[in-house]
Amino acid sequence: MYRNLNIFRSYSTSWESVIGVEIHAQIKTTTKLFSNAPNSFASLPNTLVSLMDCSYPGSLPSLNTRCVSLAIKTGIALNCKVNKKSYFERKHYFFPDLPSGYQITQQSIPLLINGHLTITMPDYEKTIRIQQIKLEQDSGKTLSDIDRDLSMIDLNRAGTGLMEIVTEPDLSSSNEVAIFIKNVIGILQTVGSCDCNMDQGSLRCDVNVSVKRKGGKDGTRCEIKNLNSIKFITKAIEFEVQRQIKIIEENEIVTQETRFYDASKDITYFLRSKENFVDYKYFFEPDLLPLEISENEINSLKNRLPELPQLKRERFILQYKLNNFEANLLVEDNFYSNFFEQCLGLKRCPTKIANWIINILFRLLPNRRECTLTPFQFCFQVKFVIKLIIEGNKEPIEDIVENFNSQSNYQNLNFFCEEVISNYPEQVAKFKSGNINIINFLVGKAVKK
Amino acid sequence: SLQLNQILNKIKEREVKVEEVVNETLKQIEKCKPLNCFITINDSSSLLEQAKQIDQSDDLTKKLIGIPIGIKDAYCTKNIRTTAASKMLEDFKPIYTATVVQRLIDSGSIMVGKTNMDEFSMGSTSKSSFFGPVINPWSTKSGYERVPGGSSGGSAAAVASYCSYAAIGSDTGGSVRQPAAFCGIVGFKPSYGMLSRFGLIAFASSLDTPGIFTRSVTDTTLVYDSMVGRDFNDSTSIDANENCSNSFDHLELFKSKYKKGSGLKGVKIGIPIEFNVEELSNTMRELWQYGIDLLEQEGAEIVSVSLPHTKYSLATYYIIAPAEASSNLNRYDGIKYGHKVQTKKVLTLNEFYQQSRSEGFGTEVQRRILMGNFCLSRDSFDNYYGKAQKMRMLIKQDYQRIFDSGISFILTPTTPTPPFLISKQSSNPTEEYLNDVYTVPISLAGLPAISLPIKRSFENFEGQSGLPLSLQLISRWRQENNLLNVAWCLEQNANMQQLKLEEIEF
Repeated sequence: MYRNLNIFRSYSTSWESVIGVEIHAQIKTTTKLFSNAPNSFASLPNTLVSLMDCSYPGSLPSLNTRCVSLAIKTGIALNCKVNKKSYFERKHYFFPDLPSGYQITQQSIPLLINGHLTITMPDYEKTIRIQQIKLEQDSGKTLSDIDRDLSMIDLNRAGTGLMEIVTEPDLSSSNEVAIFIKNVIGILQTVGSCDCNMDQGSLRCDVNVSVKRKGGKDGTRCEIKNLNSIKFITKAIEFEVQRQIKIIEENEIVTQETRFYDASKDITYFLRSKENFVDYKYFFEPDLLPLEISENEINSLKNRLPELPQLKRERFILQYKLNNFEANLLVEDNFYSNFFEQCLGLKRCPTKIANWIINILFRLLPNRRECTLTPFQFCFQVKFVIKLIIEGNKEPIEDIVENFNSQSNYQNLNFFCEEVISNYPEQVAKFKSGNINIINFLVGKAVKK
Repeated sequence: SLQLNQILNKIKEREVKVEEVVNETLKQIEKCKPLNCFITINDSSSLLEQAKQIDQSDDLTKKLIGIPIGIKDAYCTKNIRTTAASKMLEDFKPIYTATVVQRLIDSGSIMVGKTNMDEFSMGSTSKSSFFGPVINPWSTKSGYERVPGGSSGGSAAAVASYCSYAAIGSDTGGSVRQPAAFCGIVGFKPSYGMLSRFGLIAFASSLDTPGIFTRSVTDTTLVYDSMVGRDFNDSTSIDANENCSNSFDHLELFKSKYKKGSGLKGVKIGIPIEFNVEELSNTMRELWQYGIDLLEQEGAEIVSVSLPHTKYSLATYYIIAPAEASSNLNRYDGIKYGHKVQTKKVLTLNEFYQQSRSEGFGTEVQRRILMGNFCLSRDSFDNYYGKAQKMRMLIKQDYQRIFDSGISFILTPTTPTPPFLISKQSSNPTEEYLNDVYTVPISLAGLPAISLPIKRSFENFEGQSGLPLSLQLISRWRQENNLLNVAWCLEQNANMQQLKLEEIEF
């Protein structure tokens, strides 16, 4: 089975993938969308539940306007049009983690529409259209794996605000999807509307995949859910595309389905058919007023937007003479673009710093966001560590570099450094005889390990 | 048998002790138990304790100090059983109190109990209660009992039978005005949004309006003033400006300046021709004319007006209300609170939902949920719910047009008939809906309205004469003070013979 779609493409360029993405991003506010219960991850079950969140008799929703502001900022950053009057609607279905028996969402007239985001692929640029961004409630959680006979319901998450970002099916490959989602994450983090933590579920993606022959008519699409990392999204899409192609090539029909991705087996499997559609009985939420935004409010939010990743990337290239690749990587993550510029304040060599961040930090740290080194430590002390080892300093690294991430990283660093030193005696000798700059070569080698 | 404002004065002047008032009330409640006005009566020792506390305190300035009040069992009251007259919430004890109820408590009133009603506020007879029907105090003769109206029948009967000085209900399509009319008391429904719905167990969200029962318009102003005011817990709640707050003071001012015979000079009263249907009995048509004459004698100008979309009101209401109700009642699934099916069998999730809900909900509630689901279903939406919303807009515009043309108030009968017998069976379940024909259009338009008892019937109706007959006065949105002023005027001139204590016998 071919895993790399690019290879596949060069053999059979007659197939096209048609992919659309639905991103559910939890809005980063201290309280929920329609209730004043705290919005936080990892609390004891059912401790963050207000009257509204468990749909208590007589309870009523009260809009958290901060959620609206953050959603509008996100939408503006994604070039959307703001609907000055949008409506909340009820979407009805029965499930234990949906206490009211309906979800408050937006359907016919959502808050934001007709946006777009241009992604930069290695060889080309592509503009992906954003159909809409709507505000809606998150549901609670159903846990069926704790007890064999019981389903446990935790309503902590019930009522948390979500932005649902829906694209048109403009994406054509798993790589494009990965880049697109990374770009969206960059924007959400920059705007501050979501912390995009896919592990914790604050960002969730569903993809709709169909295939068609070049120039042929559109295929049937399948929805894939349960994708909680970009890696899994890419793999799931690749599997699904090939699954569908195989079906069509065997003269069978692709049925419209919802499928789940099984990471352990790297397959998508059938969950439910889309043919028996559910009638959600949408109607306008009578307990809430229409959501009205004035031109002034929109402008004010627009003016308060921070520098968006796209612009930052262009600026990094222009101002710091970084290349596309470096600029992309740094800009992808808000934390590191700030870190980079802080380091520049201490040591004016952008390319070098960029190199160090990309080749040292990104490689060493399993979760990029957890770097606890300060810019100062990073700029001056990593080199220092290697220098000291070469000079034979046996002091434990802990005493030299404080707050570095985990023990294992210390050990790794030490080990790699020792290895490099033993592998390149010539360069070590040069260093000892006064060629200080050779240390960069050694650092580079250490990092490559 | 005093009015609220009279007993309030006596309490404030320390002419009478609250303990006495509460004792009298409790005795009357005991006597009137056969009426079944209450689902829950608060413990008498704790009520007397509250009364004693007030008597011993120095401060008697609170607006409703020491006044015994009944609360419809659709309002959540902390730690006090709240059932919505349904098996679904038979043992439900809320953890919070509805805003309007809390405001009444904060005004010093004493909640004597939770009154009986139609299940989940669906009905106009109070017969559908899980806890048995309410009996109209005007007709207690065994075998000839009459309905008190609904859905807030228990509250109406409680006030009419002197079991409390005031009571609150909720009015969705007439559920305060109609039972007030059937029980011969004042029933007031303010503009939609004027009183907070937070804590009111929802029936139809865009129509539900808390309402007030009392034995006089002056009493109504006192209770209304204690409840009005924006509540941020309710997004549909609106601010009270000077036209719809401090109604008691406004009424006192109006009374002081009032000149008999010309007090309503310059006031135009509209009489809608479309309300004069063939089915309207002669009794009611004469009553209507009587009311018109009374107002004319006070200097008002009577104008015939047209509300052309009136005939679609019932259909519109009976699409929108059940649709919203079916949605609001989705939450009763047996999982978080309320009735849950008890069985040793292992059920699928759907079976669990179906059985819990089928057991918990009564027939009329199930009927309305099914109606509502139908109207919202994808294939029917455009023809039913979609059209009903458009029609609702047209009905609103009818009233807007009338008020914009210089009419200040509209006068209509409240009900098409006097209160009918409990034993009366309708041939089809929707016949009962025709009771609401005069109240429903006003609910759809969200306008403030008040039902006033005018006189007792002369003719025999289903075996009884001397039954209460009422008229309904409607004003423009957010003109509660003016509405109450003119209502007082009509009340004064009508001089209704209220139900006497002696007439209530078992």
